[in-house]
Amino acid sequence: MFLKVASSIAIVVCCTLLGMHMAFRYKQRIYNIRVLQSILANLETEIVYYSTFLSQAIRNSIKALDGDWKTFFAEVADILENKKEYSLTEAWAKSLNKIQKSPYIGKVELDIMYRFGLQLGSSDRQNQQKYFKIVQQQLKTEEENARQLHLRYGKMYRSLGLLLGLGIAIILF
Amino acid sequence: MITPQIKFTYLHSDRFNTGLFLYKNGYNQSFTVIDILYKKKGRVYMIQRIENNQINTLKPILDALPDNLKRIVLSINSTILEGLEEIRIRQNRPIMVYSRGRDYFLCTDGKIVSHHPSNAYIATREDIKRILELISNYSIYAFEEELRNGYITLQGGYRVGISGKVVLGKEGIITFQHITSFNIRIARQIIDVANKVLPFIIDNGQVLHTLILSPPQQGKTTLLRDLSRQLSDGFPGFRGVKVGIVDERSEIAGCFQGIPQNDVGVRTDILDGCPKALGIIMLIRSMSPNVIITDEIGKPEDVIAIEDALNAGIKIITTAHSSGLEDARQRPILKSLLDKKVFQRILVLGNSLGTGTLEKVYDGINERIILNRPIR
Repeated sequence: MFLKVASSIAIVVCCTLLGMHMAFRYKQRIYNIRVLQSILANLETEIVYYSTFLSQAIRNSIKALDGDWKTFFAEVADILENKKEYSLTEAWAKSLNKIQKSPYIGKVELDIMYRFGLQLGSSDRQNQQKYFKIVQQQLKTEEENARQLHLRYGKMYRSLGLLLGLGIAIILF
Repeated sequence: MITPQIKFTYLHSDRFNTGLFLYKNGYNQSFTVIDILYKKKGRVYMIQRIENNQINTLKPILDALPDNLKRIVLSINSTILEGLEEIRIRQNRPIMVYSRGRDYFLCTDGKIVSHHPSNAYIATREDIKRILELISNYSIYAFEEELRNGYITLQGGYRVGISGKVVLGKEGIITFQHITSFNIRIARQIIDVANKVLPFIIDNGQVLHTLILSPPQQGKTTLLRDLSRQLSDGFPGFRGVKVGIVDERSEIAGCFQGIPQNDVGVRTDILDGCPKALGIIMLIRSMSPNVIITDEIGKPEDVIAIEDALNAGIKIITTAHSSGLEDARQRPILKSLLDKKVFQRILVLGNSLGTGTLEKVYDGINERIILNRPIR
């Protein structure tokens, strides 16, 4: 009897946690987009106002931040400094490949960032600023979409997890 | 001489710069790694050991080339490399190198020949793009001003001239629409060229206001560089003085990120890429130089700035394009300076005994000729 109760509780807890994990992915994606926006805002200042060289500008922009995008930018800066046989586009694509498997990154942001990387550093300050404004606009739209997804599916997965757990427990016992 | 490639299968470090490396068999040796040819999981498979000092000094230029070009340039005959003056890379055309006054075509196997060969290395669009990325450190936006002037200065003071299709705006060149050709110039500082000149421009331990007249290519800038170095460091019989250089075209000091790549003296401050008129005023206000050195005066504002410096008691050493005193008097700006008897010494450079001959020296105040015979 005790075993039944214990295992039911275990099943319910596991399924609920699973549901919460699925919901967490939506939440974390929003967080990652916001971190990306911060990094890009810092990078814009470094480039447009200070004209810092790109790899140093990137390192300065990711200080005190975390997440998958920080990993991405740190990787790019590393390649630019130490592996000069890579062009910027190649370094950018290589690093994007590394983080694309993360469950907390959406395909849309990856596309936006890929296109952004094609022109980064290759025009004057005025034009760089324009591209920064464009990419921030795109990310703002995508953040809103991600938030909608979170509202719709976040709660759903949490409830689904709980219900599934209860359902399995009831069926089994 | 570049020693033949040495095979190592095991090296401790992952960072390949000048340093001490431990071989598998336990020997310590130090060398500069110029190129990692194969790399497998953090272990270097093959490297090139460079003993030649020439290659070390050319390292900033090699760093500006993509790997395939770097390898080819390193294969060039070392006599040519030692006298290397220019590397010219033009899109869709063969790469050429200039050395000791002659030019050569670069072949795909590293040989160089005088006549256009069939296996000449043709520079591709990709090469141009990579070189631009490397010389600008992936940051074109940081070089707007330099691009407008048509060159970027590398570490080591090497200038890479840029050419292609420009975009014009209201105030002149905005930027390049297409960059299609590079001229990597290897300028070498020559020490002690100013030795014979110094006695003429110092009187009683005081530097005299000096104007150096010279036709193009006679070593004006090389002379200015060495004058700056010697006046600033001092030499037996002369204590060093504070020197300020207004280096409008980044030629005298060859600054990279604000640091002079040529030796212009310990007591020298440099305003790099700064217009002469503004620069002279700034130096007077903030750097309290004893001597200001600048290249090629020619505009009315330069004259006003020079007069400001004279009023502040600062000595001026400057140059102008001219073949001699009579020729200089034909030009309105120079004429006004000469008539005001601003300069105490006027030096004329020429070519009669070879490049950089000191042809004549005049006393600027009473117009006596001090030196009539050319010396070198």
